[in-house]
Amino acid sequence: MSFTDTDLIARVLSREDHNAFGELVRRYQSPVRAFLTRMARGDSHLADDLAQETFLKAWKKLSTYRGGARFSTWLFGIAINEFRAAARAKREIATDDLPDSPGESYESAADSNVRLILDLTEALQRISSEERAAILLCCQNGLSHEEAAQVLGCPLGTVKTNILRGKEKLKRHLASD
Amino acid sequence: MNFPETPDPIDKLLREQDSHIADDGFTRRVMAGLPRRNRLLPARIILTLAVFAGTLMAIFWMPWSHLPPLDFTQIFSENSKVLSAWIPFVAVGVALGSAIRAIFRGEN
Repeated sequence: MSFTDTDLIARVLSREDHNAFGELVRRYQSPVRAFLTRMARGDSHLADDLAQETFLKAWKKLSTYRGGARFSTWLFGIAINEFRAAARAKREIATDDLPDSPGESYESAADSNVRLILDLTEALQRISSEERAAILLCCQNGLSHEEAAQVLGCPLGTVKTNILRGKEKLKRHLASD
Repeated sequence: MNFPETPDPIDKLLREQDSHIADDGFTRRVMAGLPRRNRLLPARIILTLAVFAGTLMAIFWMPWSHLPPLDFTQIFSENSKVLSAWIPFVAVGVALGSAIRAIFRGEN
């Protein structure tokens, strides 16, 4: 029997059910960690720390979740705030400070499709964090533009602009590689 | 998921990326680091204040000077004035003790 997110959240809030929260973490750890890894330019250790902090915040603030948005949208909102706070504290993951070479996890590229995906991963690191966040949320995690605007705390028009501008930059980077 | 029906190449590439990350103990680490929810905190504060107020009331209002010496030979005799005098003190002590125990155990 599989519980919905709403069921699990209700169990956490009413009975402080750790198992229910564990199930929520299991469900969303992969998209949240993948999103944060890309936001942190492949730094999986930093991404995991941020993801852990994201879920701890979610546990503490779960009573403020109103259910108006999907739970994943609410969770991505916490994740992006954690990333922004870390980015403010650690200038090395700011957009101007690019690594000279791709991370070690990208070294074993073989066929052309994989190469293209790796180029895209690298190109994603070269656009601004707000453009990257908007593209990852909408194009990779399937959030609507409205949901992404909610997560990022910016107007809908800004999200659309960031996605368009970011994609243009990605295409330029991919064409030049 | 909410993807457009005719994705552009960037969308397609992004979705082709295998972004699944295996748990590898992540959930266990998160669960191990969970603090107690602070839902009980207001109740605990109220209980602490009540215990404090109750202790003050017990100190100042209870008739300590009229408390007879604890004589076990008379306590269980019929119509014992010793027993009736001690009952309120014992009741207050038990109530305060239970409340203090509840505070430290985090009970509601």
